[in-house]
Amino acid sequence: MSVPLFRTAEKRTFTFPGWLRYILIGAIFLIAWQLYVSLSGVSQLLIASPLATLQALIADFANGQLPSAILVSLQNLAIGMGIGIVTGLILASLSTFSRFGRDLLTVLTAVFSPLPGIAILPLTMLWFGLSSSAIIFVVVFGSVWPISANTDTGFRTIGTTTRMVALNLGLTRLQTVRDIFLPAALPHILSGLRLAWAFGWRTVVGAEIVFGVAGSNGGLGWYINNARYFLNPPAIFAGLVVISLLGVLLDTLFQFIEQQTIVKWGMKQAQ
Amino acid sequence: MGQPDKEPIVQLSHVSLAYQHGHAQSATILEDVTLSIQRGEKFMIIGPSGCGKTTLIKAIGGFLKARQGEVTVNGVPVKKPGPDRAFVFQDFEQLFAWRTVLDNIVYALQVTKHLPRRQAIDKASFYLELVDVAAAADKYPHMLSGGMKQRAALARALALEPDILLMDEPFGALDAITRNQLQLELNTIWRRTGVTIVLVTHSIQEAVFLGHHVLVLSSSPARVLEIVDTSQAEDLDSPAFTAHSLHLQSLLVRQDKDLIREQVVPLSIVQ
Amino acid sequence: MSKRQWPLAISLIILVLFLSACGNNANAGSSSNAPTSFTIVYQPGLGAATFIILKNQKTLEKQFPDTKIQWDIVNSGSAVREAVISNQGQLGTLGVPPFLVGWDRGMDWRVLLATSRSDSWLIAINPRFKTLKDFGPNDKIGVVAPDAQQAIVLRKAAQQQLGNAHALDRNLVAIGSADGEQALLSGQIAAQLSGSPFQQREIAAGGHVVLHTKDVFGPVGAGLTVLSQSFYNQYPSFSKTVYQDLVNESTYVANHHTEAAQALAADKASGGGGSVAQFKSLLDDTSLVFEKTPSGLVAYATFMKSIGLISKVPGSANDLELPTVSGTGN
Repeated sequence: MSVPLFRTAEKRTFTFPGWLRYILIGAIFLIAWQLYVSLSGVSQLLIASPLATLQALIADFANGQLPSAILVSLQNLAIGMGIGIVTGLILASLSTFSRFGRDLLTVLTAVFSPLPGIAILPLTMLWFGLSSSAIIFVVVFGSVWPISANTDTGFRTIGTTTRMVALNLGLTRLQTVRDIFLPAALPHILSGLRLAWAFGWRTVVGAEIVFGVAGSNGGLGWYINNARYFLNPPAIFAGLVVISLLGVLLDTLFQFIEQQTIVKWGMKQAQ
Repeated sequence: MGQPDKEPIVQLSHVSLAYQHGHAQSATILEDVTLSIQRGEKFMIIGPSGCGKTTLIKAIGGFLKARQGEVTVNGVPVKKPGPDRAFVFQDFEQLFAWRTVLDNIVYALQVTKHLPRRQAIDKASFYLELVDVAAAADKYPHMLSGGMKQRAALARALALEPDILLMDEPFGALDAITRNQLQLELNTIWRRTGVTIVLVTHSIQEAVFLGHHVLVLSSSPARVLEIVDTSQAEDLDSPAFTAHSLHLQSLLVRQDKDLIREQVVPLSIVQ
Repeated sequence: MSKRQWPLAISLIILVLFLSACGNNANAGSSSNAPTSFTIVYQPGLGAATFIILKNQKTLEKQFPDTKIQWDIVNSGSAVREAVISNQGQLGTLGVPPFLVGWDRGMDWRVLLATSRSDSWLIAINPRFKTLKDFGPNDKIGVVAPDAQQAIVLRKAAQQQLGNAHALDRNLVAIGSADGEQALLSGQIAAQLSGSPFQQREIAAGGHVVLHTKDVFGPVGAGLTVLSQSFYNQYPSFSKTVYQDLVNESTYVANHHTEAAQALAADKASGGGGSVAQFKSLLDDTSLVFEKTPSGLVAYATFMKSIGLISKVPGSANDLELPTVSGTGN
């Protein structure tokens, strides 16, 4: 089905498949990193080698510290994003169906979206105390604006024909939003979600560090910070590796969702 | 060949309609339009481009409100759109991209007729068969050609089993061959279903070929120039067909200022 | 990027990394008796009195005019440790546990001398907190850092009173002393374990003492002033002079409470805020002891190893001491 339209003229002998090239770059990076740590004589208290990082990863996975930290962080992210998505969709719907809703969203987005989530953390700590609610609120705050703004744009750019078909079928407002607007605006909603989760993920980890919860129920930010307090660079690196890998994983999940929806439906070109 | 009943299904009496452009003066689109469409006939609307053909059919569909006069369907004033007046648009995007061809129809049946899914699938399959797209039932709209999309849209409109099929230049974006084919099939379908068809076109040939009556609108603001009875002119080779075509052409040419200028120029050269 | 450019790019990256690692040695290449620059990193509070006086009198600046003397205030022992690891600071003051963590991980620092020892209090506002048993899972306890002396004392107390050293781990919150005072008074945390003058102010604001740290490990665990072994070896006379200056200032503070209180009150960042009279009464308190001998090193190390925070215990306190206090501590 997917005939390479523009490559036929080009004579290519042999190239590595994409994933192999990426792994190759990763491997070269790891080797360079290991060589640097082994040969430069840099203090092991400043930079952990890949091997030491791997050891820390294995050890802290085995003793349950990393799994529980991952769980806490993902839970904070999921709850925050969940509330953010619902709120964002409601705001976008209000904005679509009423003049006041549109003005409200315009003003709120203009005022609040430039605020970095971390910047409101001190405030949420006052409101919610030193609990995960404070972190979750920051994630909600950070995800609502990209989601509602993108959804709003998505709703607004739905074609006249599509709207008229919905009217012709005599759909109720709820049916129109749920069955027509949401899927029709899905490309925009998904790009809003992508922005929101990327923001949310950074915020969760950042907030957990600022938060400095010292006990044993913190997330990945806490894990890194704790490793810092106990002067354990391999664990700091292990935490960073996990945060990055989870990010890649979540992004892959998003690509999968796009593949199964808007790409399949022909609403977005496959990458 | 079938004949329409003598009972009117759509009636417009002294309908005037204007678009509001913000606070500026409104532009009159339809002026004092009075007509009646018989149950089971094929009623064509033709006129100079931009004159208000689409406005008229949208008024019958209930998408636009008359400023003066009244539109009635089955004797009841039209207040809003509804599935009893199923619309087929020129725009290929009228199918829901996120549903398969079959699901597009099934969904429409479920929300309008509250059919159980099994029954809705049976009915949808029947109409897909009728318009000859059964093979594409499980495909997503973006995988279909323009002609197939219009057939699927026609199937969805027919499946609603409407009183009237409102078609706004349904074949306008198709190539000539596909277009001719669909015109023939529309006739066949009309014979099998007996549905009242109101069709906007800019093709004189299409109007004469398909229509029992052809409404000719004047240039903006649109008024009724003439309603031509073309029920005896289905055969492309018949003298009646040619006569009607020439008559319609002369009516239209007089309306279209651009066309008049084109005619005047050669005359002046002759002198 | 073509195949030929790859090795070049990688060698460039490695080169940059090497260079960046070499740029940090502030006093490399000096062979004189004093370093070109010397940064003292200390923490705010009553214990800072010695350093404020030393700073105000410019004693070091007069003794070593060619050395650039700098002063840094940081909020926790961990931060002191990081300053020393990254060579942003040479002399640091911190509690016994963060010092032990650094030593355990291979830092070559040793104790130049001890500073002062006082009693710290776990303070709660809500009267329902009478003992450690009263803390539920959501009742947060503020300490400056999870490796701070207060956090270790709390774990030891949890072991003694609750039977499990980690019973309160979920309650601990890392928060600077001044912020913690605000958090306690506004109800964000249930209790706070910091030190003077913060704890006295918290009492004045309606708090009560749940726990005295002196009851947990006994009268040991004075704050430490530390220096790396390699620095000491490179600049022995400079290091001994710094030691002597600190001993002198410490004696001065111990004998001149009014002057020390004035210095503390004048320097809000170092003292933690308060009036001359308040600081005077804190200095007059008999639980505050200025001593140059380190204490509690082995006791803390033994406990910290037993709960898995460090991996080894020194054979004797002497292993952790510079010649200035060699063989005197415990």
